[in-house]
Amino acid sequence: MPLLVRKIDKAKWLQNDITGSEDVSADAITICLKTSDNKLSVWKVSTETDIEEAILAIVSGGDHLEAIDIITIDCQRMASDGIGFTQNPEKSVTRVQDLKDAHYDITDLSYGKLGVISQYIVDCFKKGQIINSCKEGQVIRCTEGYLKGIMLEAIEDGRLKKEDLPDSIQKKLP
Amino acid sequence: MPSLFSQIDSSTSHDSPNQELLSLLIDTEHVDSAQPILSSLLDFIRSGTARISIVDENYINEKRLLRLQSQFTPRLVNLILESEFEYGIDSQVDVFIRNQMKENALAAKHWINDIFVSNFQNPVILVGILHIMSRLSYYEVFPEGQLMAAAALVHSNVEVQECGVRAFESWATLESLTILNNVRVATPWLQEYIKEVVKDLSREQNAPVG
Repeated sequence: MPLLVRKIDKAKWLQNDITGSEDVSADAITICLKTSDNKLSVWKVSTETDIEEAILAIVSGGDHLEAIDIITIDCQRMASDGIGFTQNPEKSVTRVQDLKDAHYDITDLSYGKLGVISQYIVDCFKKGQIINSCKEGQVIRCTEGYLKGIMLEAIEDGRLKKEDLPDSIQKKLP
Repeated sequence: MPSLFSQIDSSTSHDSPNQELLSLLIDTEHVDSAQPILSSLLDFIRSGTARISIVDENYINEKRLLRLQSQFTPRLVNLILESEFEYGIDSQVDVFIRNQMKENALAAKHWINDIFVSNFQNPVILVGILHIMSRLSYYEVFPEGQLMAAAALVHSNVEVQECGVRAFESWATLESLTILNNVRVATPWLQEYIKEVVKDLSREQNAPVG
């Protein structure tokens, strides 16, 4: 089942008790779902087993190696909710060349559609929070140690060059 | 190495209330070319059109700190309030602080620490400062960075606590491991995160924890 993967900041979503009855905080929406040209940047993977590929795409495009949180969205659910997405490799910032095509944009977003996506994320929190393992539909925290492992594997496989990474990331890799 | 020696009457200095002779000792391989320059410099000072100050490193740091406090505190606070901090991504504040650290790290750390303490009731400022400090190396920010991160661990705001954990995770030293291994927080997801970071650091430092 194809999935869209997006980075979020877990602490912003947990400002309120969203798994209970409280509303999502404005910080969560404005910081984690900040759109540009009514689009939201995501990474598409074919199955749950490929979620790590999206994580690699995200962390290899950054300035610093820091723990991140990610969520997944079921593409079929999006289609049935009338929310579209298109491939956009040009906007991809990953340093792993073979992952550039995995970059997509959720398009034509409106106030209402952003609310639907917000609900997808709340549903992920309701389904559970996990650390350093990839399960579809849950909120995944990736620690620095875990991310180092993913990046080192990509370097060993020749998919990523250590020298292409910013100094701050290179210093953290053995 | 050959030396040039000269003395200046300290009454030309506005920092020295007592008249004394200041000794100048200049070591150089190029005595011949240095001699006329030194003579010109001394003539210039004696002419009364220049003032010299006796300064030490404390004076330099204090002067820098005062400048940071008076000119840059409002700018830093506004930058933090207006910036979007995203994990993994540089912000304007990172660039600003890195520049200040390059100019005088001692004064900059002292200055940031003052802002941290005086804004302890403001989680947004604390989160911003911890984001930046965690991206600098352990030794660059020592000891103020570590003290700020440790104080963050006991803050009432969970996000501030998390930033404290993230800072120690990022520095990834044996001290980070010791501190995190002895931290207990009330928020289950944060305690789980700490547990996982302790595992990572324990493996990296080859230091088993109980």
